[in-house]
Amino acid sequence: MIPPARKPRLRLLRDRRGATAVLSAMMLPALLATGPLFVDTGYVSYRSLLLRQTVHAAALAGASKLITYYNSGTNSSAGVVAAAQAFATANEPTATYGTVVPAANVVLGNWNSTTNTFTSLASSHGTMPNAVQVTGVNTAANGNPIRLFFSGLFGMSTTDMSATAVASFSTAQNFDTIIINDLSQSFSADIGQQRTADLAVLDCVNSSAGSASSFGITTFDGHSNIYQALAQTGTNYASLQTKINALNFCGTQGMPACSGSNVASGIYSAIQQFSGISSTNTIKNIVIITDGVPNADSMTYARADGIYPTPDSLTPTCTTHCTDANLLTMAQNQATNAYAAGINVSTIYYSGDTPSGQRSSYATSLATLVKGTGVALVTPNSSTISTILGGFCSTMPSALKLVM
Amino acid sequence: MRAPVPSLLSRIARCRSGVASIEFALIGPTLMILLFGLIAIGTLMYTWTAMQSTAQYAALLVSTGQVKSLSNGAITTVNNTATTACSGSLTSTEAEYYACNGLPGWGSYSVTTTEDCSVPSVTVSVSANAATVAIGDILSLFTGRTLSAQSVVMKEGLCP
Repeated sequence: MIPPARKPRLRLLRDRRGATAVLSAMMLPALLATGPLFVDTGYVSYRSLLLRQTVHAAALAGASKLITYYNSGTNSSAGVVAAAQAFATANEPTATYGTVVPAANVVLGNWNSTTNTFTSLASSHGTMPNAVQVTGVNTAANGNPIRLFFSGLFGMSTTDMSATAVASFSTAQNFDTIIINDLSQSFSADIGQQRTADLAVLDCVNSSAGSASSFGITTFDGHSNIYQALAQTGTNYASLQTKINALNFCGTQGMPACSGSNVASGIYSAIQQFSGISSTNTIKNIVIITDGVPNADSMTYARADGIYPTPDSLTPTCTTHCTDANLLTMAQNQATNAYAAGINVSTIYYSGDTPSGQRSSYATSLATLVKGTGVALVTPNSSTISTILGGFCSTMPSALKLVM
Repeated sequence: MRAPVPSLLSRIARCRSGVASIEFALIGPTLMILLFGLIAIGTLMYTWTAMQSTAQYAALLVSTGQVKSLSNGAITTVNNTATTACSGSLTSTEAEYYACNGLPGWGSYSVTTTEDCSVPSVTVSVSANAATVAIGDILSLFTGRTLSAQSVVMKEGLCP
């Protein structure tokens, strides 16, 4: 008996010929689809890293320019925004990546290190920012989405991403600060404002910087005087406040006699005070508050602290009858010495006592004393000194860090 | 009557032995190109990301003053710049050491570090011969090309 012929469908199912071709036909589309997706995934991963690095660099740069907000006189954020955008562009050039950080994405505000939250000035209605938030965007809405290589085959030719960073100021580093107060007669009417300014700096060093930060005051007129030796703000806060409130101008009880305005002697004294302090985890700063350029008047110049200046190649040999130019050169030399010793030097020039025609040249002269991360600040009105100093303290560039 | 003997060609055409080998010979090259292409692009992407990462790490170390030397010596003047190849002779006191450390060992890299005190900024650029980092580039897609990553950060602290 002849076996019945198998049905054609059954034969096809049992036929093993061409199995590899069938298998390949099934696998190839899957391989062709997933392989390129891995390429796109790798590229997106790279762009994500690049965007994060860009906003980090932009936030740090923007926060480093916070002082321009205080120094603008109009609470302008233009300097901060410009710096943030410049560094964003340096990392992701506009021609290639579009405008990754639009101006509106650079936001000034305050960082709360206890709650780890950022509050914009727009929300807080504040005027004392200490942090900058930068949001970088690669989105279709911003006109610069990330273009993918192969995912367009599946209807996804681009993808969006964004990243945010906040830069504020470290609380871990100590911020040792010596304020050099000008006690000369010309500044006597504003001694109250100097006290307020000193208190503002003391407050923010105490609250914003490392717990072992120190604070001191050195006064100067024709020579310097260590009015308050460096003392830790945390343990001496009350006594430091008392000492500041007792600050008075030259010639008054407990203060040195009036003898001109010799900034160099104050800087020299501060350098000596800092010399025994390790720089490890400590940022050293000198803040000079004065109402003009070094001035000899008709005084007979006296050596500050009995030891300065020691005649050397950098110091004009004018132990008596120094000119104003001599005193400025000495101050510049001492600022250079301070910088070499790792000390930042800032100046706060109160221009209200200077004839208007000379304010510009005075500001220029004093700016030559600024070293390191220091800044040259000018304020026309004594009532704004404390605000400027408070702002300055909250924008100490060397203490900058990314917080988010 | 005897059936006619099939010709040699006809026998070969009907023979089913070795069919898998023939199918593999047809599909294999495509699969191999795809596989090695993926490996090449994968290693390239991995290396590119690593280069970008180490570039900013080195830049931040210089900008924060934690590293005060480039491969050509200590940073003592403004606008220092140095270019060097990644090699075992770099030491941990030099910025380029950190730009090179952590990069995949199969590539050959060059690092340029620039400290510009006029901005102030620190720029670290890491570049590589793309052909050396794209492993399995059997089609030589990346031959003659350069892979580069750059990071620019603000210079903090004292700038000479």
